[in-house]
Amino acid sequence: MIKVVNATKIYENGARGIQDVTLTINKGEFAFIVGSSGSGKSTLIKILLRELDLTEGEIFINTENITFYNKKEIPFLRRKLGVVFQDFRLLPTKTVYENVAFAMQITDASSREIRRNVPMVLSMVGLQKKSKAYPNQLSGGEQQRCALARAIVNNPPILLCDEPTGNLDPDTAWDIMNLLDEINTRGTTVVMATHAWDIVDAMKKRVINMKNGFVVRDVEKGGYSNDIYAER
Amino acid sequence: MTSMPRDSKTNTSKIAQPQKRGGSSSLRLRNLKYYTSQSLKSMWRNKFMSLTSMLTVAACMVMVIASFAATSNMSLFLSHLENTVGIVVHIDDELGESQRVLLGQQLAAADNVANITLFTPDENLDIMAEMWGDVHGVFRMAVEDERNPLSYTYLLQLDNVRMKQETINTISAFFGVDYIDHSMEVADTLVLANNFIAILGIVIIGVLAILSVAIITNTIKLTVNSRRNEIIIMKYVGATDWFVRWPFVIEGVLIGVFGSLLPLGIIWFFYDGLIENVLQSTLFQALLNDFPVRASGEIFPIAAPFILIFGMVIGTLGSITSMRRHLDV
Repeated sequence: MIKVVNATKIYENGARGIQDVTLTINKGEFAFIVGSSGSGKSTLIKILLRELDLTEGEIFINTENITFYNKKEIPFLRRKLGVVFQDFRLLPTKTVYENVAFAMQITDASSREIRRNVPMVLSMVGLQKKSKAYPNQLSGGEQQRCALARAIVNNPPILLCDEPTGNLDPDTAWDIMNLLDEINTRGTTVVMATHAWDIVDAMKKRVINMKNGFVVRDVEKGGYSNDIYAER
Repeated sequence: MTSMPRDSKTNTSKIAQPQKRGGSSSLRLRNLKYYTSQSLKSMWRNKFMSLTSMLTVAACMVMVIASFAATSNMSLFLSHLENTVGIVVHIDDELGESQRVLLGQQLAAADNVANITLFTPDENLDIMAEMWGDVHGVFRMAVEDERNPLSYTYLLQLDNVRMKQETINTISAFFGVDYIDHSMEVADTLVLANNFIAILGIVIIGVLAILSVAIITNTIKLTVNSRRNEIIIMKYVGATDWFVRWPFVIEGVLIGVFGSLLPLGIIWFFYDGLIENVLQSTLFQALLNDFPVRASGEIFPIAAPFILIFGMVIGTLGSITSMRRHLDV
């Protein structure tokens, strides 16, 4: 479960990232965070990752207050939060297999565990035949599937996605969404910031709508709202 | 919504329990293998940069070793000069043969006396004549029919010229010593010069060390900068600072070690030949003969561990300081 309580982030230049955001995302839920650019979607994801510190408020993950985690605790938090970015962020000098294995190596997993889990998760995302390829030898969709495999290989209870389909063509984007849906079905909480109104409309999941840093709408099984249609 | 208490951090929920495995600052064997392989791969991938760093280390080390060898040899030379400054003990004319021998034994047994040589009045006259350039023997003829006014003397070589005054104080009290001829000025100047050379050597090596760290830090910084994205990605997926840092540290150590091997190789293979050439040069022989030098066998055992450890330390410092700001993700 993710609980954000009266969270505000004001950047050093005075810009407001999010303002007085309060929301709860339950275990196993799939939630879209939507809104125009600068609405605070990515700031919220970064705060959950503890890449940014809150100016005010608190964040709880599974009842644990992570707001005041120190530098040494943050890596251990991140191992429990799978994360997928729009620009994939794969290690360019490592193969697909090594990129995924890396997420396990940092947790000091044994070679046996790595040899068992990595092929399994690569098979799940359909990259088993590309395990020896380097990121620059993959298509955008394949790179995102690799990033997804890396995000879930440690079986995190929560998966954070920051515009994961932003760089992909519609068909590939749907491949990724199907994978995310499947991961969610298996019990992982998925929080996805996106601009993809068609995906949001079609998936009929929870939608948290942000504007100017505020949460302006929060609906179960919703779509991109009418006012958002007007914005796009 | 009611906010949860801030001390809920003490809860033992699934997320909160930091796994104690992986990424600590201590090196574990399994991780060491991984870190080393990553370092070697990285060095191979960034061949040009690694080579540049190694050559930078090598260049700095060559200067450090050259300074060390120069100051060490200069110090040896001054010590050699110091030790040639002896003490001349003039013996009371009234002393008989047996008493002179006894005094000689006492002097030889005194602290800080390396060896003694007895000079008869005639020998002293010859030395004086030679010193004064009496090539025609005029000096000797002048005293031919007279009693030789010079006395027996003992020339004392000392173990440590810096203890000269203490030694003089001791032997002045011996029975039969008339007076002692010595030049504190020469000894003091030599001691001063030797101290100055030693301090100069330390300062030069210190300055070079600081410069080396600065240059190497900058070189490694270029490598780290080129891999900034990698570091950020590693941090995003939950790598601890030390998990990211160790491969860079090992890379820094390896660059330091490999960079140090080149100057050490130069000492091992070329130092003796170089010194020999310098000593045989006409100019050098005209200025000084009997110049003592340290052989590579003397320089190497001191320089090798120092240079290797120094190389490792600057490699490590370079890595750690270069990547500090990149870890703040």
